[in-house]
Amino acid sequence: MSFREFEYADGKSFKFWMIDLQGTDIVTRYGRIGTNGQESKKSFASEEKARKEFDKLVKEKTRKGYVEKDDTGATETSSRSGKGAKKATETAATSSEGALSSLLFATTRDGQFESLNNFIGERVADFREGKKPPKNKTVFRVRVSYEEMDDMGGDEPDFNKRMKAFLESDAALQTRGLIIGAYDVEGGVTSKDAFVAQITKHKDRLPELKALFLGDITQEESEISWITHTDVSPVLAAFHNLEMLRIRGSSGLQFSKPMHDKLRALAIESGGLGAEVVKQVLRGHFPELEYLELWLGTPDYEGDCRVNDLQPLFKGKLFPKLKYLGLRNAQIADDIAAVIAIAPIMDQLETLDLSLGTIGDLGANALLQLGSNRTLRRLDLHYNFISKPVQKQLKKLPFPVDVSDAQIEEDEEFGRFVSVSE
Amino acid sequence: MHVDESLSLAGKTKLNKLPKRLSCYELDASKTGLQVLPDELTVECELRLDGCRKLAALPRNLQVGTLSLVGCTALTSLPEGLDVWFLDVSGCTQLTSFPRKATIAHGSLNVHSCTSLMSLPNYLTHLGTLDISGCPQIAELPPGLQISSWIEIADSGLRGLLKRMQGIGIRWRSVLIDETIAFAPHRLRATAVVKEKNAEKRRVMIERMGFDRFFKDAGAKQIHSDSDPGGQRELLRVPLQNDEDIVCLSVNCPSTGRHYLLRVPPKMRTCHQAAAWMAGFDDPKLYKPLKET
Repeated sequence: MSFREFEYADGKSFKFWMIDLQGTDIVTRYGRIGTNGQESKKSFASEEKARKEFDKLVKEKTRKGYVEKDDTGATETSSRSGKGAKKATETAATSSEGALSSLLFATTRDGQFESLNNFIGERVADFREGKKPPKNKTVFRVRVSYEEMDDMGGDEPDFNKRMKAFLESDAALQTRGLIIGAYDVEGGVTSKDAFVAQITKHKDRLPELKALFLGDITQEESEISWITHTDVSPVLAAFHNLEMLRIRGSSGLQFSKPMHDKLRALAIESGGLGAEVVKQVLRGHFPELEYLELWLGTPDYEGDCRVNDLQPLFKGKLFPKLKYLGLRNAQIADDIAAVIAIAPIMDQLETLDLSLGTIGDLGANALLQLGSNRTLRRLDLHYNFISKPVQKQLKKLPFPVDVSDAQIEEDEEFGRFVSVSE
Repeated sequence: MHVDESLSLAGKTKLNKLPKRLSCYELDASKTGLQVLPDELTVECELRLDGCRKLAALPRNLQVGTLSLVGCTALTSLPEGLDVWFLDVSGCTQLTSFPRKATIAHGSLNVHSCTSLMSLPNYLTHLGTLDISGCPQIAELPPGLQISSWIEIADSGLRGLLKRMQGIGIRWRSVLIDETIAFAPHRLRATAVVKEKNAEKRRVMIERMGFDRFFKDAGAKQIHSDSDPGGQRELLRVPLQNDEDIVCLSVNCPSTGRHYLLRVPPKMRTCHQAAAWMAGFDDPKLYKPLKET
């Protein structure tokens, strides 16, 4: 295979990388998805040397988390043939039926939260009442911030008023992706009862809603443990076409009626996710779920989930379409590694993401057993506590393994910490 | 009766019966008076019966993700056809054997302090972790067993790991140790102990060597010596890097003649001071035993 094409998406970037081996030349093209990007060419003394460099570059990209595009998949874009930029964006974000590309589900690489620039493949536009929303936008964020207070002569912006104005605007009618940021400038909490009630009451104003992010809040605005939520089941019940739900913070969060016929991606980012919430999700009915990301956190911040609580998930079959499983930021990551490495669910997963956790060599050793796995295409172990020799062994697995940002256990007494807690 | 979520009956000591055909996601009936469970019981995720001291039997073909039976001291056997991922029977001191047919796989098995347990069943093939600490009669592992992460072996009868298990963690009361410390402590040398940087591991190494051999091998220095009714006694010291010295009083029991090395605080200067400290006297002048036996 001399031509290969890769894509990468998270909250900060949305980009492609292509490589073509032409005899002794290597041509690469890279840039933001939806643009033609830049091309660069390098020549080598022999075909063998060029092939070696080709393999090295491909390995480097896959290790960084780039995902190879499926030739037959819905993510097919026209970037390869270099057609118009707009066309490529559309095809990247949607398939023929308007479904989201699964590539767009992941948005948060680590705990260095910044306000999202990209969401479901489009630049995020902040909605402000009184200002005309940009044309042709389908991704909006509603939030209030301190910075605005200067513009408003010291007055505090009102979230509920802004939300109301958004729901009344034409922009809402086209919105496919909605992001809820800080709810008030003081504590930056979000998704109070008022908000869930507001959007479910006016669900007819959001007929195109496919993706919802509750809590796009940076650490500067609020620690993750201060972000409060409520029962989000009314949202699931109101928006039948929702495909993706991402939630940051888990204090007060509940799924009293965990069911949705079309939801494909569910992510909960937390410094400590209560076992009760995890159990609610696992008792749920989500037949289309492809992507499940849970930040389990630490018991110091209510993260009391044990590996035993995850057993119904590890059995497989619970979510028959599940391809990505992220059990991230987990103090119990070593326990998870010991069990999931030999669990039936591994026969359906393409990505296992145990990043931001406290995996040491014992957990990592268990994961070495995945060598005979036939479905896995990526193992993400970035930010863990794995030693250099074991990292080396992991890299020999027959799929890309991300062991970057490895931490060192400095103090025997205090042990290992997850990436995000408070 | 069906409960969608978790049902907790823990601590209801007078409870001795569950409703027939009970089904729930989780059931916690720890510290209750249950003796048997109904045959039709269905628990999906976790069944917890810790400290049910009257519990005598479980239903045949019980299938559940996690089964916790910590300290069920009346239990002598587990049901035929049992199917679990996580099984914790630690402290089930009357438990003598496993069912002839059962599935215990994928998760973890904890048989800590099952002192009557003679062996582990051959149908164990894949476990995440295994704890056989405090099982002096368990001398070997089932030949087909693979363990993903670690095995805990303190005070078990285990004499070695299977060849295929290379690379898994060996734990001794939660401290990670190597195969020499675990299975060939006679090959341990005091120099290795003194060099070991991890204090927890050092402690286990000394425990495995025994104070006697460690002190001999380390060439312990005599701080003081005198005699008592048992004969000569000595205060010995081995200095350690980055940790307080190990100081022991070497004595013989006047009744049995047995030799003991007893660890005392490193500040001790005389045998009498050390003996007084052991008897609970901070001021050695106040310690005047009439007779030592």
